[in-house]
Amino acid sequence: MYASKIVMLAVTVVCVFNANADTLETWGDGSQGTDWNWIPAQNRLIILQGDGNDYKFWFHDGGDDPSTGVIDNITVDPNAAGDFSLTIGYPADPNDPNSPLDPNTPGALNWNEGDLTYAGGTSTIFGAKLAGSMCANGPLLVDMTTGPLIVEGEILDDVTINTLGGDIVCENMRNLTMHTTASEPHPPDITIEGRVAHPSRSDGWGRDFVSFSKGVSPAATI
Amino acid sequence: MNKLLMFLLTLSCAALLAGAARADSYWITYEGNDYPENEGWTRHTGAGGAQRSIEQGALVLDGRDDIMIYDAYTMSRQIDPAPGELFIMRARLKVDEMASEPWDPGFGVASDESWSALFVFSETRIFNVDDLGMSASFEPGVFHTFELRSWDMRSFELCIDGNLSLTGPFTHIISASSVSWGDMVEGEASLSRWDSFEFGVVPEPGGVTGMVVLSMVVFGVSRMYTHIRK
Repeated sequence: MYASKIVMLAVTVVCVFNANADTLETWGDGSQGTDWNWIPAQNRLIILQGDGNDYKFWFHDGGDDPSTGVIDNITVDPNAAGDFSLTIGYPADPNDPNSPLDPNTPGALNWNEGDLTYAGGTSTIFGAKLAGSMCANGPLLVDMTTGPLIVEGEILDDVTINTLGGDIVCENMRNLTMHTTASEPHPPDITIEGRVAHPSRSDGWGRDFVSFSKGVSPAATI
Repeated sequence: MNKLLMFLLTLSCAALLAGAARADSYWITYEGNDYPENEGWTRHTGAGGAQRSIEQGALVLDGRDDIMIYDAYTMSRQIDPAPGELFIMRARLKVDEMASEPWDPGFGVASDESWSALFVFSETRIFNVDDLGMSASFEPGVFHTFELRSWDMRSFELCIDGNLSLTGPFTHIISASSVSWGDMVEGEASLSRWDSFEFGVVPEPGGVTGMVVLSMVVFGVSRMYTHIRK
């Protein structure tokens, strides 16, 4: 049920607030262009088309060197059609369309404050997947209209997810606060698998946990 | 009668001065007579920026060569209105040509507490970036004045040539305390002309001060006119 229309947001980039002219571009897969827009003055990303694209974004200095930047807000055009996935990170090889994320890039996405608002409200958003190493020091807000939201990765702080009836699968989450505003078409299913971050431990992790909850109340903290 | 008239006019002036003297009020104007970076604006460019010129008192931004071009201008400062004040952001521009669809020029504001309203233009429509299904049309090929008003930086009214065209909420983002305008979008190409851009905080016309000022002035002028006719 999760196979169709998955939006993947994989974050491994050291991102700090920087309003200057870092270039945001996709790597390798040729999906750059008018299928998406970048508004650097407000760090806004607009997805205009799905079309099965595998969007892989990275910030660079105009050449091949990674630079810092932040995607503050992602909006999907209600006229967008088709499946797509979305990855944000540093590629191991920016010229290779199949390049994986660079595992040697230090640090993690640093949402110092504010929200990453993944604006739903459109029928084209059927799911989201957050993967990779990620530090959400501020609330990460994801609005879904339908379909699954899949979250995996090392989320090191509270994450708030708003769903309008979508299913949620979370892996390696620390604190997840779940809000839902709709009981139709059905209450969201939530699966939590993973471990709890614990900075005082040498490996940074506390106990592993696996929990499962289905049909949560309108506001539940897991 | 003269004493009453003098009293009313004095009150009107006092109210006007009280409103104008508020420390939070400010107004910043760019009139298209020089490049914005020469007037305190910060320029942000991609792919070398647009080809620019000043023509007939308007800044021309020609970014049609490359969809990766953007050429935007920002000013960071405290933005928000105090209670009883109104934030206004006003741009007068014309979108001559879109070399790609659907939009490219734009303007926006991020409040002191990171609430944002952001709009982009095509040749014939203005779109709310946070709700792209929300748009309003205008006549192509001529200059229009687009004015955003907000009392609380949580919701806005947007007028085109003085006519209320859109209303909606602000969106919470990370970026804070700035306004921006110009060829805003990387991924689209356009030619636009910016006759002016201005923004600031003014006493709220519908507020207590504004109502007092307005009523006193109207009443005072009316009585003066009546007095002169007599």
